[in-house]
Amino acid sequence: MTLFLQLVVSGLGFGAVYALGAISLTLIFKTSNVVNFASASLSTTVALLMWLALNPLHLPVVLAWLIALACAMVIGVLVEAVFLRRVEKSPIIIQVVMTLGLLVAIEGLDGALFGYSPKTLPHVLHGSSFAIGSVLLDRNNALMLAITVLLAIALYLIYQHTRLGLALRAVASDRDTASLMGIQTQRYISLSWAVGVLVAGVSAILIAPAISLTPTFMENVAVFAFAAAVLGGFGSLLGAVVGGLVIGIMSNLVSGYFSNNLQLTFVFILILIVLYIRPNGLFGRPVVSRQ
Amino acid sequence: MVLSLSGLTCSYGPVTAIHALRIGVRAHSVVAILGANGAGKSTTLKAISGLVRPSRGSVFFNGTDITRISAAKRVKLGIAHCPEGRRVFVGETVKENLVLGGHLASKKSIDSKIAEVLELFPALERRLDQVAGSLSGGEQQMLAIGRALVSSPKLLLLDEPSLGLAPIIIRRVFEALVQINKQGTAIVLVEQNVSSALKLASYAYVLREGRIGLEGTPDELTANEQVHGLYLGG
Repeated sequence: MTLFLQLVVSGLGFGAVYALGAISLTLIFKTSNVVNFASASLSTTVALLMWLALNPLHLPVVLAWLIALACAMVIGVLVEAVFLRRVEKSPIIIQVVMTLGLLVAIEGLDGALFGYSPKTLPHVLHGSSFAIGSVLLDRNNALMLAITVLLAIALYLIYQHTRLGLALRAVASDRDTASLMGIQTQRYISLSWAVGVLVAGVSAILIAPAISLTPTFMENVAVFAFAAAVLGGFGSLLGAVVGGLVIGIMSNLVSGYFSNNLQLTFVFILILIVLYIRPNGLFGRPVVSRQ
Repeated sequence: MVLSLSGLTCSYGPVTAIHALRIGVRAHSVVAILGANGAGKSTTLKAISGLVRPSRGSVFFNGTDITRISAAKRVKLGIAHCPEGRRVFVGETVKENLVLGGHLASKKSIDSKIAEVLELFPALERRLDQVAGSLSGGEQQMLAIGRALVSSPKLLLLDEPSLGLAPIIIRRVFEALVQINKQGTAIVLVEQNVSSALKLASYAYVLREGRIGLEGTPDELTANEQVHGLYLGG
């Protein structure tokens, strides 16, 4: 029983990172209807910029965080403005190819600029794990979980209870009609990309100390994050968080009781079962209309 | 003139939807744009509200050339557009749809405009917390018009407001339009229901294949044999 509980608690840390990745995908998809397959390389770039600020430049940690997060937002805005806006009226397959192309191109660019040798980022918190009963909880895992939950609550409140959130929902629902309400739709799409890449960047910076930082280090994480978004119901913030945590726990249990190699297999079997029973995912809702 | 279109031409790729249209709308008036399906009526409204960029010609609103400005900025100037098919935000509540209509207004102003809309369309009051997608077609039309009114427009563009509605609902919608116009809002009405449109309008244009085929007052058009034969069942 102790092993089971330990695996569940440890899985929450990775689950929080998957949840952040899924939140990033959800934010961008909710407003621009684009599934951002380039998320892995964009978040890696943010983590590499953090490394650049901390190591060669020796900037203070807080300043490095601020620079990395500001760069994340600028990168998000630029990627949307330069690449995705060009294909916004194209078929979805073109947008998919565009984001996949960006994934590969940015990974290559990161490799050329930063090299392929593994780098390290320091943990945010230092010190040993603390015990809850017989279960040990890593401080950084607890921090990742806290950041994820707080961010999800903040985003939920913004989306559901502010005029900004209402405008974002309108842009996601029908861009032309939203513009007839006086909403500058392009600004809201830029904003969603800025915040989306920022959240993905935070997930990369938080997980980097546990994995070697290379130009491709977020690829696996991004697959689990994508799975989390689908499991939760693509477009649902609550679904992204629950999906991320469920997948984090499940993959840790599979790894602990069976094998690392079976993690992805079990995760996608779970997704198949959930989608068979609930085709819109755990929290996705079909749109009701009598039109 | 609150609105004038000067030589307005719009194309979708190689297909020209409207050719060199010249249309004028006086302040506080109701102008109807009539014509068969595909005549270019909806494109004309989209060009006025900024959803479609004209390839030639200009749109003047209160004397200002607005041809190159965005749809969102045109709302700020006082143009509201109820598009064909209502296009309410089906996943949001009735109240949220109305609030979205006042996106550029202050909260205080939105509250008072929503109260006015609910006076005009009392059927919406008990539906405020219901998602718009669950409303009947008539209620969705009322919501679409009400949502446009929250922005306090000087010019209201209506695309087929009677489409798919029962006669009793059509009568209610047109009664509401009379009231809206009486309060000073100019209306450009695209309608297939020609008799209702001509009762409301002070001037009308008949489009044929993207060009103005006929124009005149409702009396002149009603007396016209072609209009009578084609649209009024004579």
